[in-house]
Amino acid sequence: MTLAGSQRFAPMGVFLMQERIRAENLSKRYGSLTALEAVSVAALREEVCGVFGPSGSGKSVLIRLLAGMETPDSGTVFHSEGKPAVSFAEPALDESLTPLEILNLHAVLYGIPRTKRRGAVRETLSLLDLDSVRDTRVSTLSTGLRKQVELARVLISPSAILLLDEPMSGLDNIVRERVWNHLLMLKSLEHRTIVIATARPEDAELCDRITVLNRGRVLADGTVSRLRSLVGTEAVVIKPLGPKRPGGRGAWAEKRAITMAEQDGSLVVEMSADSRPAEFVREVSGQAAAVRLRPKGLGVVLEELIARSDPGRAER
Amino acid sequence: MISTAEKVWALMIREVRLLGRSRTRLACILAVPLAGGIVCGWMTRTTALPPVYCLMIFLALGALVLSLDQGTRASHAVRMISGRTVFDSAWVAAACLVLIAQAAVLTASAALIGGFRVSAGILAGTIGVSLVVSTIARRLLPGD
Repeated sequence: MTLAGSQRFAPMGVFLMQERIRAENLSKRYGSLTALEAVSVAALREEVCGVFGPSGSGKSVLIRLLAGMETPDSGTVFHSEGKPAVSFAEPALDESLTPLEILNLHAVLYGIPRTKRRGAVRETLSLLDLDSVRDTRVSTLSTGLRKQVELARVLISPSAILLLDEPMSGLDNIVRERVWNHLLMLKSLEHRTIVIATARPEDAELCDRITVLNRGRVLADGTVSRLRSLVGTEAVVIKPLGPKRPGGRGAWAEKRAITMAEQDGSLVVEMSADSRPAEFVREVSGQAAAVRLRPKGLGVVLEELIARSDPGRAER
Repeated sequence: MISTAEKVWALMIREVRLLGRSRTRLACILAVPLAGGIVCGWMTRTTALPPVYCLMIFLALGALVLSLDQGTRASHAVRMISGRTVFDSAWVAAACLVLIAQAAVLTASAALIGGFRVSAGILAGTIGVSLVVSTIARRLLPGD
């Protein structure tokens, strides 16, 4: 999602047709705290972009700047198709209204015609499992249900750009899966652009591209496989031929600085960052019944990227 | 296509609902003109002071009640979608509606108690001043 190192985006200052939203060199300070520093991002038509980072990394600030709710100290934001719809990490709801009243109001404000409004409200309530509480005041709803109403007021929007700050936090797995399916449908069938700020790797994994933020700076960006390649290590699972274990364990370990462990009768080999997994697999395949590469979980990859840039984080 | 008038109407309904569902604000909105009516009526009967000043003070107090609870996160979110002009127009319309109702309660109770009479012009002027007070207070009072 960042401009640097990517050929998908135009040079600075040039807005490509397929780009829906583009920010260049955004910086934002609150007093002595630097919330964002020279962050450049762009999101394309028909794309789900993830902004991943730990708490305090600047995700919410970036969303607010992209939405135009705050002005950056430096840098610029361009939108190609109208105002984006924004959902906040902390719900911004009228406490004394009901979900039905809130959605009806937002449907009018988003310009949904009267003929389609009732259907849109009904579908959105149903999507987020809010049918049973549609006439209950928000002030009496649980935190999770409030989050669902917050998400509903954005998902009813026909806006081409959706900016979602921690949209899945507080949602149960069934609703989360349903919302993800809906978002992917909006992307592919309605060609929407969706930007999701999240601290959950399982949500980041479903994005087309991910920008990893830490302490207001971009650490890395790209597809899930690109981020995995940046961390560079993979585990190789070797199923031995019969009871005899594959030979040369000591030699491999010495040569490639690898660690090994036995798991369910297979040998799990952790590769070091500078080793070449494909070459290693070729080398051992003649001595094993089966060899497969096991990619690291995205959570581990993202944590490693953050840990590399901020070695003292774990201690804090 | 949704017209601006329809958006203003929807936002005005929101304002009225928010006012109506907050017990404290609702109580203040009713109590202020009632108290004003009683004082106004009493002044009309017993003192030589022009009771219209009392009317002004109490309507201005009522307008202050309208201004509370305006800077919430929800209001910011709604304003972001509707645009400032539409949002403010709806608020002025809702405030006018409530101020007219307050003025009606105040003058009716004052007339009942002390035979208080006020011209339509003075009443309209007082409502206008109250609206200005309310608008200024709305800008000054903090939200959540």
